[in-house]
Amino acid sequence: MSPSRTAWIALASLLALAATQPPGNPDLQGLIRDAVQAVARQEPDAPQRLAALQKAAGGHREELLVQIAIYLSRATGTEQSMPGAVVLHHLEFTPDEILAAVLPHMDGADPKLRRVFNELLGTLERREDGGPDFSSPDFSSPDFSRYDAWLRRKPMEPVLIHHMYEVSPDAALASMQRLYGDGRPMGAAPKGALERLRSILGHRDAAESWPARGQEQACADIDVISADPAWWVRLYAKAIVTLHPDLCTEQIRRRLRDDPHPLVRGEPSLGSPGSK
Amino acid sequence: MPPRRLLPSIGWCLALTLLAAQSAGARAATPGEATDLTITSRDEATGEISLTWTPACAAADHHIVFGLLEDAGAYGYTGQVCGIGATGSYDAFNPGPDSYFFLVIGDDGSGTEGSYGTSFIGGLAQERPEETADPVCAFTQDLSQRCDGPFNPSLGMTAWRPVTGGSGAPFQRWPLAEADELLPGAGIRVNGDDDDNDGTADRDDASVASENDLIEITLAVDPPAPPAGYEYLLSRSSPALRIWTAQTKASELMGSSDEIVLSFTAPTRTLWVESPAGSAADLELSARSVAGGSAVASDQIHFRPIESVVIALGGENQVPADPPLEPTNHGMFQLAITLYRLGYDVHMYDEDVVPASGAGAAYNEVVSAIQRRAVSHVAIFGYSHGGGSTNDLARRLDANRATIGSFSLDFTGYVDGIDNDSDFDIDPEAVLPPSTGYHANWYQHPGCGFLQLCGGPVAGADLNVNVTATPWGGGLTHFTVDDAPQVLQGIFDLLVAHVPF
Repeated sequence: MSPSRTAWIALASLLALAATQPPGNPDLQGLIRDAVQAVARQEPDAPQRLAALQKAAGGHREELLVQIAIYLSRATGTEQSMPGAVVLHHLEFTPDEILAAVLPHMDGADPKLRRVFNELLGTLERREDGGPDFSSPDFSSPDFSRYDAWLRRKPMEPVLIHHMYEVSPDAALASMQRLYGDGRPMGAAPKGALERLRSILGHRDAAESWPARGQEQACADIDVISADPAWWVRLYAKAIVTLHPDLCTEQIRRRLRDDPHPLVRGEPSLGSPGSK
Repeated sequence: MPPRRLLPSIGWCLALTLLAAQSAGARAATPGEATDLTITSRDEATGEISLTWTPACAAADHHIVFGLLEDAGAYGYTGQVCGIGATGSYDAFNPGPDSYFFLVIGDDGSGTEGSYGTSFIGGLAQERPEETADPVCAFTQDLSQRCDGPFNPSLGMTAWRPVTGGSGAPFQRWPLAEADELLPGAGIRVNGDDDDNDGTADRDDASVASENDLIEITLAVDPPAPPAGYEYLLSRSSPALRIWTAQTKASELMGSSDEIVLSFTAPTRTLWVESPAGSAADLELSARSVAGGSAVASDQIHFRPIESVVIALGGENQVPADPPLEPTNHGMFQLAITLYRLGYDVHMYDEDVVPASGAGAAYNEVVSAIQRRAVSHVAIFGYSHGGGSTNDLARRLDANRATIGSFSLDFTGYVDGIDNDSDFDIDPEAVLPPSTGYHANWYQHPGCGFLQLCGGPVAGADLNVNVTATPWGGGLTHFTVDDAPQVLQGIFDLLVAHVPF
């Protein structure tokens, strides 16, 4: 596991203090196991097993998805996880079903289940062209359009927003700007700092080393960004120093820790979308 | 009755070197030959004879063996006098009334005796027969380590495969085979990386807390202390190799000199070899005569800089380990272990370390190898989602080629590759890794209809094998294809053919 991901999980753990792990439903777990085994062994009654599973879940597809996620989080081999993926694929959960199922439990999930949830969200945000867009500064270039739609319809979801910044700070920032920026362009100073920072981080990611004077410049740029009036820009700074702790001065660290917006501070309580 | 005669000058005082079973299993040098035996007097009243001799080297004690003179030709020993001391004199030898021959033999004081000396026997100079009856005191003769004999130490040097576990799962510590010591030799990483993250290349650091690029060598000698006149020597063919007493460096054994006399407090000693710049060189352990410098025994290992890095990626929920966690499963890791033992610098990972962007620990390892360890050849292979991750990693490496530096992706392999955009992706990985020098693709495809999981052909691959259509692979499934011997052998053969060490 990369240090950056570890840092994000640590951050997520802080947010998860009040949440709890969703419990497994023994009946559904047994039916899921039967269906997965039938698919793995290519048994003729695999379709019937799947039908039995769907029938047992009734109309509670979000609960069924959570139970499948729990099953997959306990998988110990390819023989469970890949047929499990086939089952999941067959059940054709919609993006809204996935978001409605996953988001309430993200913070309470243990690391294995949280990983499954992250991967489920990955099916919504990762592009289907077989690989990343390397023209993107952070190389991940996810498609957050489904999250944008969700966030337009729902109150601000700290869990989802943190997830977006975890997956791609740049794409998340663009989404937040669209959602909460009211069409106002970013100021010249933070925009310049942002562009320089992206260039430096792109070199760092590609070469596994900082360019000459890169760390100093990146730190200065983060200093600018972390003082921006918009919380989603400051949250970008928080995301970058979480990924690259060596870029953070004590002054920046203190500023982010004491940020007026709870999302930047890393607290689970909601701020209003328009608050700074 | 024949006159009683003493044999005034037939006191062959002999020594031996023995293989003593010391606590650590090493053999100690054993007494040499006692010489200059002289009868100094005989007490006419008691019949006791006084003797002097030059004690055998390393002798803790001596004893006398004797027999009737008429049996001297056949070495017919009939008696012993035990424990006559180590000073070289004895005043109470009295074998009784008759004529006798006798020998003074060095011993270790605890049951091992040395040489009885040489004589012309059957026209050839050879060791006299030992006394085996031992009527008084039991000794076992051992001539293999006699301290005054030709020094014939047991000596050897073993190099171990590179330290692992810094990135990827660790392999079991594995020795280089004796037959490979000179050709191809021991692979050694160029130590230009920065394992302790202190901003200084490890080759320029005097001490590196988490150093993992030095090669462990075990030196074994027997006996640990060479006899007088001999020494153990470690020498290198050039300063391209630096020798340290610890894995973390700190204490260098050779400075400006290319050789050093080694002392051993035990039969084995561990040292660590560093390649600062990547030139090939040899290391030799020898036992030699101090006076003449000629070696009486030696062992040599050739060290060659590692030129390649190999990445092995398992399938979903396969945890890399050596030995594999499931002995008849986890074929990619079985293969990784085989390649590591053969001499490749292999790193095996859970495929989840490679996200769809290709970034992460495996990518960093390859980049570090290219930029800091002078590696220029890369190979990647994987099974199921590991096949998809193989492509993801290759794509990122290719996209960042200009920044990373010069390298060639010599070999890539999929085994029933599944695209890995997420853990739940079930699409076949059908994309050729960009810039691959040779791509081999094994997949099973028994129709692949409803609820079936299959790999598929890769356009542009150098080798596409639908195992379902082969005589040996018709029964393979997605969950067994990665363990098929034909598939594993196929990857092995092609990788070895296309990727240098």
